[in-house]
Amino acid sequence: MELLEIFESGKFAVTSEVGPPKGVDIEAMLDDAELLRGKVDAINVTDQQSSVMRLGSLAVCHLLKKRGLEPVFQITCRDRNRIALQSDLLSACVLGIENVLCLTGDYVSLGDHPGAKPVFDLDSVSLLHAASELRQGRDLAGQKLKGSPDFCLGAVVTPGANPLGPQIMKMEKKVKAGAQFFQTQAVYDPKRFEDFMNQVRHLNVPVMVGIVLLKSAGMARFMNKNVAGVHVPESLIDEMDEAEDRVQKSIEIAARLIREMKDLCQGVHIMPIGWEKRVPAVLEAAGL
Amino acid sequence: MSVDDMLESAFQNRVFAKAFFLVERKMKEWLFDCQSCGNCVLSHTAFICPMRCPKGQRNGPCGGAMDGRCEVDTSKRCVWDEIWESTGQLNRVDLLVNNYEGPPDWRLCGTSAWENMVAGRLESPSIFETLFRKDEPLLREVPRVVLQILRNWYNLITGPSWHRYEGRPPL
Repeated sequence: MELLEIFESGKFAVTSEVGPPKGVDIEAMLDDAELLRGKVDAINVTDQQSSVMRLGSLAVCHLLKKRGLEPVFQITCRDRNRIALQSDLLSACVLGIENVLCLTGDYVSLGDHPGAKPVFDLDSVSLLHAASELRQGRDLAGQKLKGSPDFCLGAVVTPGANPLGPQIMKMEKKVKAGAQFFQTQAVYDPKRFEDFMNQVRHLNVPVMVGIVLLKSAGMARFMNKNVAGVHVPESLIDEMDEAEDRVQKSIEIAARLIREMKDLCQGVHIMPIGWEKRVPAVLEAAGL
Repeated sequence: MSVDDMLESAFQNRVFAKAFFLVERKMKEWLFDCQSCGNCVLSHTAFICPMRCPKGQRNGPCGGAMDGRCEVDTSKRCVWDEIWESTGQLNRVDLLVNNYEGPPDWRLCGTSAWENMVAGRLESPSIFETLFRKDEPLLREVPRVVLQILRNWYNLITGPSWHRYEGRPPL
């Protein structure tokens, strides 16, 4: 079932994600996806995350769909120009993939092919616009399509960005360009998230709060220093530091955050970053 | 005859057009660190060139900037951080929100944006309306725009000074 129907039904939506491997050995990734069966509404498939060359998102989405799992096709503007992006959107449609998450993408120099030519012909807003146009039966050049695709279009936002103003401005543009739901960057501060939600209420669009499982206090400190828009409060870092069982503590913190923010938004997106196997336990502890 | 019409007929003369572009390009390079994309949106972004962004983001920040630093080159300030500040100072935030900037037409890269504008190759009303808001009194708007351009230019040449500071930059 596409995500839009979940939001319309008023159900609290749950998504998680899998990252395609670097290579063609897909067993481990499919096992991770299998663990999520029946527990989440859809599974994001990342598009060469952190600009590291990997197996493609579209192919993995197709594999998930074939196994009866609901994929969210993440598509970035880093590697393809407007011709290739529109073509891949059409490809997604004929493969039965309905949920598409449009992102700008990380810069190439962050990844393992730092010398590659960055494309960025479109940005996330114009990509959403392109997808909306395709849905209307025409492409970016205004040419008519033979049969128009249908998508449930998603986008991302960073509630912890500093300054927040331009983030909300861009979010508004994304909504105007056709975004139907949002997944957020990791949030660890429910109070700040509440402020953010109050500022975007007028956009009237479903927001799924992002949760990244904290693996250790070191990881939390690393994110505070290096990841834009992510702030882990000191109290959580101390909790992780003092914990005897890190895994149990991590699950407990994630579940607590979900429970605290559940009433503020329309869904949760869990990014396990290597801890895919712990996602079911988090959902259970959060009562989802 | 409007300024646009006069310019349009003047651009028919290719010697004039070429001379104009050489001056336009150098002026904009000097004032805005212009990248000569030929699809100018400077007036919407309060006279900060968004094509200076490594990702060429024309509709807003990418989400990778930390404390105003560009994620690609942390010695630089995020262009959208500058745009946000400048649009605030110039009272043009509404232009950011209300203008969807389509992807640039790369055929125009390295050509005169003014010529493209008067020839109708870009979606903008007119040179004059592009530079100055028509809902503001001109006597106030013109000096404001000039001052803002100079202020942005001062920021451009002095650059971010945070390499001298420990921790968060004093933005």
